[in-house]
Amino acid sequence: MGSVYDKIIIGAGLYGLYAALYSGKKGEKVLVLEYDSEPFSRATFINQARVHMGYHYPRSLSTALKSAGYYRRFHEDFSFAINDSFRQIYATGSEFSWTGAEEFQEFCIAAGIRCEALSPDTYFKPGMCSGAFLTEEDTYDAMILKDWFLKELETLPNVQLVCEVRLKDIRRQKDVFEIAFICKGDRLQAETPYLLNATYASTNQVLSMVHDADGAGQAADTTFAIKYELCEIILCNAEGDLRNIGLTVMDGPFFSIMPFGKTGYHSLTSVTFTPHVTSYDRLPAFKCQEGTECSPAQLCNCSRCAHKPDSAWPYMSRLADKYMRPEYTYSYERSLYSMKPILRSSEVDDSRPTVIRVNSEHPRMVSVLSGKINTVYDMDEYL
Amino acid sequence: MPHSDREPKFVSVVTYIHNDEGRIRKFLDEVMGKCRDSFDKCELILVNDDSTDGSIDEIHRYFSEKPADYMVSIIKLGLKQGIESAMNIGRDMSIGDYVFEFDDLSIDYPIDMLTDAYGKCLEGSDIVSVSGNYRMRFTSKCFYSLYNRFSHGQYSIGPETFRLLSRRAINRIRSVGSFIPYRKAVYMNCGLKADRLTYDVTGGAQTAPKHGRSDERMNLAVDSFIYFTDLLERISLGICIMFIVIALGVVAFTVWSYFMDQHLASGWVSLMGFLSLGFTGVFGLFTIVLRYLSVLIDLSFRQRHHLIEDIEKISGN
Repeated sequence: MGSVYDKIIIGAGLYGLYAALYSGKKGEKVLVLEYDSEPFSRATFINQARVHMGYHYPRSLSTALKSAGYYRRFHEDFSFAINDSFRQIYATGSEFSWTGAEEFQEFCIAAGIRCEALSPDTYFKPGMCSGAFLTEEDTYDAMILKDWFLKELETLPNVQLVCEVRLKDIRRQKDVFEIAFICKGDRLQAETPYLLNATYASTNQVLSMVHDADGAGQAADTTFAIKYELCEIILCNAEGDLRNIGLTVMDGPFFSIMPFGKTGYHSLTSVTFTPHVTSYDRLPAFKCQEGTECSPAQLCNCSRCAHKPDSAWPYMSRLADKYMRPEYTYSYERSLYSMKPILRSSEVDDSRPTVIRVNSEHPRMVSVLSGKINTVYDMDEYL
Repeated sequence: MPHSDREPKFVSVVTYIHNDEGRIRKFLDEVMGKCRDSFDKCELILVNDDSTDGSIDEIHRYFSEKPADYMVSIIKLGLKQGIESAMNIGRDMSIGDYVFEFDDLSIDYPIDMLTDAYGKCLEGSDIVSVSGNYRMRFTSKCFYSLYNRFSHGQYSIGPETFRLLSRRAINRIRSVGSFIPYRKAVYMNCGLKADRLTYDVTGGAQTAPKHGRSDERMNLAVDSFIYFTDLLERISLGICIMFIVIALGVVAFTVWSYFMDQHLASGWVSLMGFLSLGFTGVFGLFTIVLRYLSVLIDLSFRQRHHLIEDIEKISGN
């Protein structure tokens, strides 16, 4: 019999800690379990750090409008962690874009988001882009955000964060979930009527660990239909004028280079070269897992893995150079890797960047899967 | 394994695929093998122009047997677009420092021609075209000699097996104009240094392989004359001038008859005078309209549409 909590949250990313803080402030007793040695070690930190305004959804106006609302709210709540001191420029490629310059502009007007037409030749090589637009969008600094969350949580004695946790078992009893885990050699157990699965790439792994107490085996399969991509974000040192701008070429062979929060680095990513390997299995199976602790049952941290792939810098930098004017120079600093789960349906549908699923009503289990940082507010109604 | 003798360069190979099932394997083995041995990083872009045979299956089979350690992209075109626009799409997709364009998969050249072409590039030519010492077909001969005579280009063009472009050349081509109806012609007139390499054809073929069906080739030839030469404009201008001269002649004859010939039917002079002056005006206008049309052609060079159905990536780094 372990200690009892009002909520147990698996995964100390932004969604996990946001939920912990939200519930903690209500006076609930909360336990947060994290695999890595500190929070925000994976997807919350390792992504483009974009605070989405909605520019990415030219095919879904409703998503764009919702994004814009969340953007403003996120901005108010976390202004201290946001880098807005650069010009964020979106451009539409001349050749392969599914969305042309005019469509993009019309879409922005309809969504009520800033979109000021600029001359593409200011930033891009002649003929490469059909349109360039100054937009209102910025990036957040995950590490500043982390420090803030940790400081806030410190003031709440009812919220406990445990790192370096290895989950062993999740058993569904009549009224509670019983969770067995190992932390720094100790075998521990905890109970809760409310389990939140906020693990992102490991979401199916956690779900498949749940089983019913009567020994009937697996609970009903509520896993997500996802594929997994091992993604690379390149951090680089921007030089000269590039320091103060962020560039995103929309659609097609999409790439973007923009300030990575307040770290002083720029992140470089591209649609074609950022994903390295893909797994189409329900649970992430990869060749690179052989000989490591990582397995389809438990993902480790890709950035710290000995088997991480070679950087795609030669590809990504050439793609960026192909578009950008030659005076924008930058150099390689290092690469970050993380696993990205992609909802199968979202590939054709822009309308749901965040999915929250109630896996079990009683006891309650909720899983959240979101690739966008500012849709964190979607969780409020479930907490 | 990084080879020390590899050039520290990124090379893109852009290849046109149209019902080439039987030739893909050899091409990939030899050309990509050579590129892997010679350059640090490679990329292969296969532009599938609506193949109706098993070309694409063959490509998949090849790479599942021999997984590539370079990037492979297959561009699937929505409908058959012909070699010129297909290869334009492929070239625009490429990201390499140097880009090889293969319009045809048959290899009748010593494989070292690839590195020879690269060597020429290093010597300062941004565009290197490689051709065999074929006997040219009569129609090709006519086309190239007429073309070269009237295009007033920097370099003359001829049949080519493959070519190598530097990234600088590609940037330049894009800034010259975005519509490229006939690649050779644009490449050779982009203002950068171009060079030509010739090889002795290995194997049996003595005449150059045909790229595309003959009606497509005919269309391309006529279009190229319109776009890149002033031959057609000159012909029409000539016809106009001829008619103006005839019309003026009639004017002169009418005037002469008015004074010299006393037996004219009444009204003949005024009728002929009106007709001939009128025709002179009409042909004058034609000349102006033709000029306008040629300006319009220049303007529409800025229009282009890539119709891609799908881009498939097989393997990365």
